[in-house]
Amino acid sequence: MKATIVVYSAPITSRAPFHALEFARAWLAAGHQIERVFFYADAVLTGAASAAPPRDEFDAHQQWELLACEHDLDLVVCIAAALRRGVINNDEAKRFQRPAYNLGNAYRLGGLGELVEATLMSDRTVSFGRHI
Amino acid sequence: MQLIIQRQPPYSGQNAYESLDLALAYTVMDVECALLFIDDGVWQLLRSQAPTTQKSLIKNFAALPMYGIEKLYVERESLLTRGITTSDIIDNVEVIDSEACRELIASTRGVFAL
Repeated sequence: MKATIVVYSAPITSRAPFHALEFARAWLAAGHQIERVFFYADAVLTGAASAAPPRDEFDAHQQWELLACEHDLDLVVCIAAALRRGVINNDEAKRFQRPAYNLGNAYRLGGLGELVEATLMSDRTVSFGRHI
Repeated sequence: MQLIIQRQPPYSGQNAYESLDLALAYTVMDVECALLFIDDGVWQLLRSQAPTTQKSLIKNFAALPMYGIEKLYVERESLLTRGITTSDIIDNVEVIDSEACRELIASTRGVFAL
């Protein structure tokens, strides 16, 4: 079965990226596929490689990167939500003349259309926000 | 049909706008989309709101039919517990009880609640 995973809430201030990751691991372990992982709203902060939490704390950015590399996952960060919150890739940093970029290599910026497209191609869409 | 649930108050961040953007993304790709307002999300529907520094949600809601979003629902119990009457909220919103909300959610293919 194919699933699209949507994350809405930020790392650190919520557990959504952690719960989503645990679900993704279990889903893959059960032999299913992941069509796309879409980070929306405050969850776009997961894409920031500039976060440096203490070593003994959960690092959402790094953990998602590891899982993505292992399973060739498509990690998409909503471009509009990301630009509002200071998560930016090299191209956008140049375009908006910002001094640095911080989007991690395992992530890419994309539009909401890519979320819609992925949900239409999936058997299940599972979302993770601050309420779970 | 896709259902977007709004349960955050207006003007408290990006939540209301980003929920609307999500709804519009679905209709742009020809997927029918409806909005359901529950909990503090019902404050978004007040007709008397007049924001000074943020984009007006009222204007956004008024434009929804142009984008193909015609179904707006609000939970009756959420209005009642906040002392909001149907005359306080904008037109063209269907008031449904919590049982009908449950049925709506159960009958929908996809639900997002930011």
